[in-house]
Amino acid sequence: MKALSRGGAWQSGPFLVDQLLRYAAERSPDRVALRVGRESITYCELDAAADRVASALAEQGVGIGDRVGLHLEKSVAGVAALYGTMRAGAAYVPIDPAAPPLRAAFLATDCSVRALVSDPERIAMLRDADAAAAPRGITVGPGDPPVGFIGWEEVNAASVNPPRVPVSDADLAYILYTSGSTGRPKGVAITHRNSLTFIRWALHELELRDGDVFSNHAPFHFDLSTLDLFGSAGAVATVSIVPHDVAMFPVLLADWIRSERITVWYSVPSALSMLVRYGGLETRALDSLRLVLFAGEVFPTRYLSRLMHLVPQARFFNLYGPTETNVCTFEEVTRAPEQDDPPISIGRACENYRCVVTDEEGTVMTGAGSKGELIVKGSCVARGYWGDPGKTAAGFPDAFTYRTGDLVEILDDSSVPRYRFIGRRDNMIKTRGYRVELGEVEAALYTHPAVSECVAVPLPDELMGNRIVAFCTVSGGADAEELIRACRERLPAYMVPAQIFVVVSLPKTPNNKYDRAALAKQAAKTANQPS
Amino acid sequence: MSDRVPTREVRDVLAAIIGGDAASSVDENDLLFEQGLIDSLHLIELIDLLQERFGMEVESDELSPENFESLRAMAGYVRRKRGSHI
Repeated sequence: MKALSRGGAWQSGPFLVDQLLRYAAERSPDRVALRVGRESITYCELDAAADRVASALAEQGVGIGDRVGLHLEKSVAGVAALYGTMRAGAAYVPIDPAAPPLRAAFLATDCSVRALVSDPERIAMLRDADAAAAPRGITVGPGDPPVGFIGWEEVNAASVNPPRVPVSDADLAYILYTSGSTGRPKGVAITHRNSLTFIRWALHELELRDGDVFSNHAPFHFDLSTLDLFGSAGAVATVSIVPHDVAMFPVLLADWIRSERITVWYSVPSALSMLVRYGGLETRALDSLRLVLFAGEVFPTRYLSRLMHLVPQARFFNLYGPTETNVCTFEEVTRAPEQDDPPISIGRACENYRCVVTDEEGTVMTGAGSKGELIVKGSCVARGYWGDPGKTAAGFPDAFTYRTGDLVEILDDSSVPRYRFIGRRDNMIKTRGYRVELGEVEAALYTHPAVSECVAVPLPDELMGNRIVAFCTVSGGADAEELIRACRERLPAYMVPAQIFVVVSLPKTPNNKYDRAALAKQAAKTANQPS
Repeated sequence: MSDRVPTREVRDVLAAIIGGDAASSVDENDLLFEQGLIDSLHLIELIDLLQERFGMEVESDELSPENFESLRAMAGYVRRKRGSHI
């Protein structure tokens, strides 16, 4: 039993996410906190940089309860800005640097950012889309700061003693936007307490320690990144950000993991599947890895099994949890699954979290074999969706409870049973670990004036989870290419349909709903035919 | 002649992934990944299509920036692959 030491020093604090950085800087000032390509920064320097950002933001009027958008490529400055935002009392809102300007501007205005940290080129594009998306802030990188913005040199000259702000652990630390079924992305509002509940659990359960070198593969707008950033700070370890071009080519990624001596890897399964399939691991032993963590979708048995044989010294954990709960269940995979085994379990509830399974009437179900919706309870549960009381009420029945919409099967009769994911209650799918509400894809298609009706369906794919295929009826002469272009202007790349079929009519079920199952079958059939 | 054909065919493959409009405006020396024209999701589709279209097997070590960074690089790679097998 390790219950006595559970949480360790963290039982008595810190209570704010950015305090993890301060604590690390006090304990090991000269340890490298972060590496981005050839650039690196120690804990002491990063802590000071965060203070300077906080001072600069305060000077611009950012204070407790505000939001600051971060719209930039990953960099040392970007991480300093993320901590600096929290230290100024505000919540950081990461915006995908590759997002189309329309979408990026929507996110920034939806949560009415007080300031933005970005580069001059992106600021110009945002302002073109909506001036309110980039009111003021800080620029990074080359180029003169536009009106209202200050350059990074000015940040470097700012005070390392920012104004003290009375932040509590019930205040927001960050807002992560995720796909919304009606076409509007939803901002999941995470408090310091929510985030630290998860980080404390991870530090203890995964035995994260100061000799570790974490990789960071996930984008900052994806919740997996919080373990890389804050788990490494909590453990006073180093985090190294996977360079963009390295992430693209599995062989380069394998070489990078080796040369960086990465010990803790966390990503969606598809990144690992690509590494197994094309990484040349037979001649590139990943012998520094001690923890391989994955989350976001089901890991195809074939690739997981090969990975476990190729990296025999590592421990493997399947982590599960929607953005709204952080990680809430986990399973250590100790035996490489066989080809015909059922999908691996999502495991049991993390300590200090409670999970229940309910049927459609909300009755709690127990016992092996029962199936229903997974409900998560605890201080990990997000405060709700930013500025959307309706959706918050539907998803969060009370302040500590979230209805995941995920259907699971209970696998055993213990009081903290293990679960297996079996499907969704609605039209949300996963592609490369990203949540996609098919309704949001359809909403983007409907913005094209020629589209009369449309349905988006998933096309299962072993490496990626799902691709998206859409069927549309149109009036007038729009072709598939034009419709894809309309999607590209509004949706991030992972949500743009791989294929759009313009059809004469869409099949309906007897009760006059679109027959999604028939369309999914049709999509699969077309995919299997050589074009 | 043999120099031109694969570039056009590789452009067709790219068009199947990012759309004909976008693909036709790509210069053969444009850096596809650096300029954000394709991402890792596209790369998987690209490999599938190249293998299908040109009847070849992409090996791990060949999946490199040298072979995939631009249309010209991909065309050269396909030519070398075909030359060595046919």
